Amino acid sequence: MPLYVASLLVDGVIIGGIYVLVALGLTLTFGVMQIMNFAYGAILMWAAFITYALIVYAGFGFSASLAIALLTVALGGVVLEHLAFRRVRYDLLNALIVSMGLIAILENVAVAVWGTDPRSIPSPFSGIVRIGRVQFGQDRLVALVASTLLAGGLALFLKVTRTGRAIRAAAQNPDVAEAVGINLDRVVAVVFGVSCALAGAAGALYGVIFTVTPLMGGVPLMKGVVVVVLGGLGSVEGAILAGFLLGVAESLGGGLVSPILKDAFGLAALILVLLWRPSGILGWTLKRF
Amino acid sequence: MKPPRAAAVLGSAVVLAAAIMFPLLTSNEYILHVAIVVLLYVVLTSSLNLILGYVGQFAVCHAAFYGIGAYTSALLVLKLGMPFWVSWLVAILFTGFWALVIGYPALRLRGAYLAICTFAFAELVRLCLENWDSVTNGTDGIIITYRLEAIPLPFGRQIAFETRTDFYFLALGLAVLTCAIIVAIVRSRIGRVLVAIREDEILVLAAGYNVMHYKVFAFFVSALFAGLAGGFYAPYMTFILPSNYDFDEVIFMIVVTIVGGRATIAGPLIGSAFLVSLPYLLDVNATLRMIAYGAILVVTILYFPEGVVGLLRRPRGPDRRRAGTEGASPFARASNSAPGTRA
Repeated sequence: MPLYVASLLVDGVIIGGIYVLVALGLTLTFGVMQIMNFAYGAILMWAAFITYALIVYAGFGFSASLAIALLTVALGGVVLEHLAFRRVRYDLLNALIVSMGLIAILENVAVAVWGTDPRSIPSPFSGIVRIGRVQFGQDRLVALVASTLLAGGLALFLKVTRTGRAIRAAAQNPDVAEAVGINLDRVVAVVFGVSCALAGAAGALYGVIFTVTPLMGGVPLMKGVVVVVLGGLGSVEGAILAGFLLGVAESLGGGLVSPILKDAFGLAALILVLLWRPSGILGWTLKRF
Repeated sequence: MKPPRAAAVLGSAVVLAAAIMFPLLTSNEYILHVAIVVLLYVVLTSSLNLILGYVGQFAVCHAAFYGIGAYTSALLVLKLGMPFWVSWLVAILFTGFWALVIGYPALRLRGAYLAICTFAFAELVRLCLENWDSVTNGTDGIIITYRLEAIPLPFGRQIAFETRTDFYFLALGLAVLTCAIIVAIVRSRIGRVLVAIREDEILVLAAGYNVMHYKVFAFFVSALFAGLAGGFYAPYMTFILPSNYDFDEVIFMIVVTIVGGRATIAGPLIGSAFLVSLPYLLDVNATLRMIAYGAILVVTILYFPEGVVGLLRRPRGPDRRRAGTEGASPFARASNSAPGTRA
């Protein structure tokens, strides 16, 4: 039994890492643009497919394919921001509808190109890792390390770099940020690019552990939304903490209580947090990062 | 209540007359079916428009209420043997009950927070429908075996609900009832308070109105009509599935409302007439159709944010260019008032 619980814990932390990546991108766009980009799941799916295509059809290595895929979706994100999201900045309702339209387009183009059969990204990490008596796939360890590095890197980027400071300023008060000479349009473009790259990383890791299909974006998106709210909309540390917490809670709840109720735990927690602590479990946002 | 404009009265009379004449013009079952689905969406989107368009509250659980209505009515008839018409009434009230349960806490939240809270509620309803196998039969759905009991008319005649035309007139009646009640509400004193809440909630609060009661009232009424539509849907389609009431469904309703024109009576009518019938009329590959549909949606929101009605109402002048960008629409402001969420 302790062994079972330990492996559930490990699984939870690993899947939590992916939730963190999804949530970080969402929380960044919310912090700076005051919108929820629901097309995020579709962008995640495209990154997974691009990685898959580069490995399988073009014969690139895993890391090279991942890098190219991230760059592509980041650029794609900047283009989407420029063409569409720029016009609905700070407008939650319209932005949501724009993202729904984009989901319809992105998912169905993927269906037209790749069909609906599930595929799996071939990864070079096929070994088994043992920690004590707990064992799990090497790909999962890589996913955990990658998501931790990316989340840490993002937090550091926001904290110390000039662009990071500009992003935080834009989240705090866009008008004043512009008044002190920050190019708001450029900050938003950077945020969108970075958040799409994070979605891309999550998508590729997800595709390695699970499968890649045109409709794969829905579940990670929903988890991302839950994590963002639990951590506080616009909060980076909150998203990191809540992502791992949700992963572990779901894994333990699903394994020990009931697999059917797995998804319900997160949603119920979300409603309760919104009603009692709407600013998230940490109670601070990007504005006070 | 303000006296209605002559053009509006004339317009509604013409539309209503055309709708009544419609079954006389065609006996094609397929076209009648499309018309019934359009009318069903008139009920759904007009009621969604009350809370979303007029009050500006971004609640995204309308499809969940629709599902609660459909499942409640169906289960009452199938499991408890209740007459359909009674079960329909109970289902509507039960939907309203849930609107109060979720509305009182959730409507204290604003903007994104309200959206996410109602989203979570909708997902919980869907999970419940999908996993409570012993009652809802899970993802396999429920086959509706009952029929609507005939309504006796004077002179020994009756409405048997056996032909599609009968269902058409029932759906038309529901749509007219919905529109009439929504018009009555938005044109009344209550309606003006509701719109004022959208424009400036704090000001309405300062003027001494209990904002929460008004918001919950609109949410409750809107949910009642979703329950009404659900009760009709089950025996008409003879098959209900949890995925009929998922997040995609509410998104579709929002799209219909907004592309038609939010906070207008004609908007949901126009949106339903075009967007609901479009997939039936465009007989192309489903994938291509969805791509085209997504594109229409994005272009509408970016360039005509007030929908078809907004486009018809005023010619586009130079000052209209900024519509849809920051601060131009009152809908934009709600999302800016971030964490101060308690009203």
